[in-house]
This record gives sequence, C-alpha cells and structure tokens, in this order.
Amino acid sequence: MSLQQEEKVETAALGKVGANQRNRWWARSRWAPVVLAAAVLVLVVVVWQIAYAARFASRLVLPSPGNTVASLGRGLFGGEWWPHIQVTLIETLAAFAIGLVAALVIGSLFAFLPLVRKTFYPYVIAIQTFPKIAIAPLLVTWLGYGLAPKIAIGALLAFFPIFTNTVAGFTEVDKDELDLMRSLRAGWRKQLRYLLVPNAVTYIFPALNVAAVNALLGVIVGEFVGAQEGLGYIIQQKAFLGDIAGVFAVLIILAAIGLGLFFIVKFVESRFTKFSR
Amino acid sequence: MEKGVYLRGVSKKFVTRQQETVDALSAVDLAVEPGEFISLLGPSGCGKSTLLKIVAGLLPPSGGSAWLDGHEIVEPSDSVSFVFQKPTLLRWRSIQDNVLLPLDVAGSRPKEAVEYAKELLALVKLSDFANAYPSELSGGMQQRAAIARSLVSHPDVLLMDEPFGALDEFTRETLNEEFIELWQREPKTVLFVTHSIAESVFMSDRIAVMGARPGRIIDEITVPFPRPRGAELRKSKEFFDLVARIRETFDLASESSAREVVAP
Ligand SMILES: Nc1ncnc2c1ncn2[C@@H]1O[C@H](COP(=O)(O)OP(=O)(O)OP(=O)(O)O)[C@@H](O)[C@H]1O
Ligand SMILES: [Mg+2]
Repeated sequence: MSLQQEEKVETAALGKVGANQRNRWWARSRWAPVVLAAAVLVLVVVVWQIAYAARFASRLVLPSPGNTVASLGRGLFGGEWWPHIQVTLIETLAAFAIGLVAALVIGSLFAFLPLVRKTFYPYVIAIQTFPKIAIAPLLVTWLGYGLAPKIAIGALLAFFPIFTNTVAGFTEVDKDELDLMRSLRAGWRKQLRYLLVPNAVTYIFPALNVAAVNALLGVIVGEFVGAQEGLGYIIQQKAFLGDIAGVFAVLIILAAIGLGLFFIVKFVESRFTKFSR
Repeated sequence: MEKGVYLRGVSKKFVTRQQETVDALSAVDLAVEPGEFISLLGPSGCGKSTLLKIVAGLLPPSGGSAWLDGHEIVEPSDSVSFVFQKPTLLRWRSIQDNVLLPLDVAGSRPKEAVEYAKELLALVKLSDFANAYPSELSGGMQQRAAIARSLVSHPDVLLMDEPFGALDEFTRETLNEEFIELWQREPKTVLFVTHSIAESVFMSDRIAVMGARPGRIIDEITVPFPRPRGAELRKSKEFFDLVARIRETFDLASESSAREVVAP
C-alpha cells in the first residue's frame, strides 16, 4: 500500500468518526478555503464601501473602493507607473541578490572559521539588534539619490535572516550524522557535499522568503527618504498631492509584488526540497 | 593473520569541561571470532558506545589497542559498518538514496550494488517506501532502513549501538527476529550493544557483561540455544533461567560496588 493510499484511508475514517462535527460542507469541500478567503475579501470591500458612504472617516483620508480601482487602472493602463514598478523591482532583486550572496559567504566564514566568529560575533549581534532602517537617511547622504542607497538598505535587511540560518545550517549538524559520514570514510569534501551543504540548504530556504520581503521593505524605505523614481516615491508624491485613492492603489501593487516574491521563493523551495522537515 | 576483532587492554579516559577525568573504559580485553554475534550488555554509562566507537575507528583508545583482521584499528574501515541508536537517515534523501549513501560517498553506484540495495529494501520490507522520505516512516521502519544501509557495502563486521533501543517492546521483538533472519542469510561478525538482558540472550552467541565506573567487562556468558531461534524461545524455561542468571551477575556487581562506597 502506498503512502498516499494510507493517507486517504485515514481521512475517510476521520470523516466517519466525527460525522456531525466534521461532515459539514466547509470541512469536506476542497474549494472551501478559496471560497472563505474570497468571502473575507468581499466583506472587507463591502465594509470599506459602507465606511466611505457613511463618511466614518473624512473623504480626504479614506477613498472609495471604486476610486481606488479606477486609480489603479489609470496607473497601470496609462503606462505612467510601469517605469516605477520596474525600478522598485530591480532595486529589490538587486538587494535580495546582494544580501543573499553576502549572507552565504559571510555566514560560511562564520561557521567554518572560529576565529572570525569570535572576533565579529559581538558586532554582528549589535547590528542585528539595531533598527537598521534608521540609517536610511545617512545612506542616502553617502550614496546619493540613485539606486545605490535603496539597494544597500534592502540588502542589509535581506542579509540577516539568511546569514543567521546559514551559520546555523553549517554548525547545527547532528553528531551521529557526522559520525556516520566519518564511518563511511568521507573526507571533508564529501562531508561537505553529502551532509553539510544539504543540511545548510534545509535551513537557508525557509529564510529566503522573509529575506525577499525584507528586501522590498528596505527599498521602499530608501525611496521614501530620497528618490525621483520607484513606488515609494510615487506613494509620497500622491500623499503630498492629497491623492489618497492613488496611495491606496500603489499599496495594492506593493502587496501584489510582496506576495509574488513570497510565492516565487516558496515555489523554488518546493522544487528543491521534496521532503518535509 | 588473526581474523576477527581483538581488544587488548583497551582503556579510554575523557576529560570533561570541568577538567575532571572520566574513566570510561579500563583494561578491556575481548576476542570476537569472525561470524560471531556478541552482545555488549551493561547499564547506562558503562562505556558501551565508547567501546564500539573505538572498534569503529571513530575514537582512539587512551591505552591498549584494538585490532581487526590482524591490523591495528586507527581509522574507519571499509569492512565495518555502524548502526546508531537513532536511525540517522539524512532527511533530504529518499529511503532508497539513504540506503545508497555509502556507495555515493565511495564514489559510484555500480549496477549490481543498486540491485543489491533494492534486494535489501525488500528484505527489510520497505520496497513500497523506496521513494518515501524518512519523515514519512515510523521509527521502526526508519531503523530498518538504517540496517539496510549498513549492509549495502557488504561489511564483514557490523557494530550496532542499541539499534532497537528507541522502539517499543513489540516492534523491538519483531525487529530482533527479522534481523536474526537477515544475519543468518549473510553471516557476519556483529557487536551488538544493548541494555536489555532478554534482547542480548535472544540474539547472541555470547554476551560480554559490562560494569560501570570504570567501564569494564565483568563476565562473559555463552548462550547455548541452537539456531534458528524462534519466538517460542522467549517463553521457554531455559531462556528465563539464563536471563535470571545474568540479572544475578548485575546484582552481585552493584552490591560489591555499593560495599566499596560504604566501606571506607
Ligand atoms: N565525549 C565525551 N566527553 C566526556 N565524557 C564522555 C564522552 N563520551 C562519553 N563520556 C563518558 O564516558 C562514559 C561512558 O559513556 P558511553 O556513552 O560509552 O556509555 P554507554 O554505556 O554507551 O551508555 P548508554 O547506555 O547510556 O548509551 C560516561 O560516563 C560518559 O559520561
Ligand atoms: Mg551508548
């Protein structure tokens, strides 16, 4: 009997046991989660519309859903926003890539060179606990108004989750697994290839989606501080001009980018790691 | 050349973090014939794992020497396999890839070896799980896979450190019987660590009874029961008598060490 079959048998049995509790349509249907999630979205929009119509908040700070969607459509189909989306995406990807490479390299040095670890550990802790976005204005002063400071902040924010997990992945190795490799007469290269690297990968992947979202966060903060392009810049422009519907529309685009990054990383992870931890 | 495993006055001291010296083993002599199944039986902390690691070449002795087929053991050998207390399967490899790990580390997967791995998986009743991952298997199934992995390289000597210690009694007894069957198909020297008296009596040709502080062999007992041994053996009077006799050995040993503590 295959694993999948066993699983199915189990679910069927569960259904029978708690017939009155578990046999409701929303527990059985495969589409139930999708329907429920969509219902939440509809509810939010309805409440939003009611709040707008009843003027719970001033129309200066709360746009209508309709105006927001209209603004979104104008921005996207008018072509006005695409260059900014492109800039923010490029900055985010660059920040993520730089943060990733730096974290892998420095994390490996930390894991394999005790001297490096002992020397720099206090400083790493200090930087890690430091509210890093606070240095955004400083970076803009240093690096100018181009892409560089945004990439720098994004990379710094993307760096730490990956760095921490790289160090853990190379150092938290089961002692018996090491003994196993030694008993198989594996030299350090083979220990690296068959044990340490795969072990580290299982630690690093879960950090990647946090890092991707952090990169986007850093980039937007950088654009707030000083920029002539990018979605962060557009948000500030719109807020300054009192175009609240426009601000909401850009926020929706940012949410989509964040979700997109998250799912791309998740997808890559699922290709690489077919096992469950 | 003397075939088999020989320990001559092997001792091992550890220095703890508090700079205290622990005598894990003191002057252990042991001779294991090729093809013999010997159990190392003793309470927790008496140095069973330490002894096994010395034979595996994973740990150097502090004094004395360990020999395999006439060569002093200074590093792990191709002809020795280790089975750990926990399955120690790599979680990112499928069961079949885990069983093939020794070949991958050695450098290639010859066709016959892959066939043999499949055969071993069938022998340990895991054919249907070849492509499953360790997390999808029960503890007993994982340990079966670990045993298949230990056999894939055709070792002459199998070192097993409480391989069934983490399992419940029913699973353990089943695996005991299955493993003995496997071992009779492909006889090899086995050093089997356990702290279950019944398990050691059921499995072995000979039992080295160990005592703690310092770790040493306090008695060697030959198990007279003919093979093949079936589950009925566990219910026989002779079996119970031998278990009782070994328990007696432990009681005497702990009494005398208790006296040592009280006397001065
Ligand atoms: N790496 C080590 N450093 C310091 N002391 C150690 C080390 N390994 C083992 N010891 C000590 O040596 C003694 C024997 O340990 P060992 O693991 O061989 O016992 P064991 O008989 O296998 O016990 P158990 O049945 O609990 O596995 C113990 O007192 C233990 O504390
Ligand atoms: Mg042990």
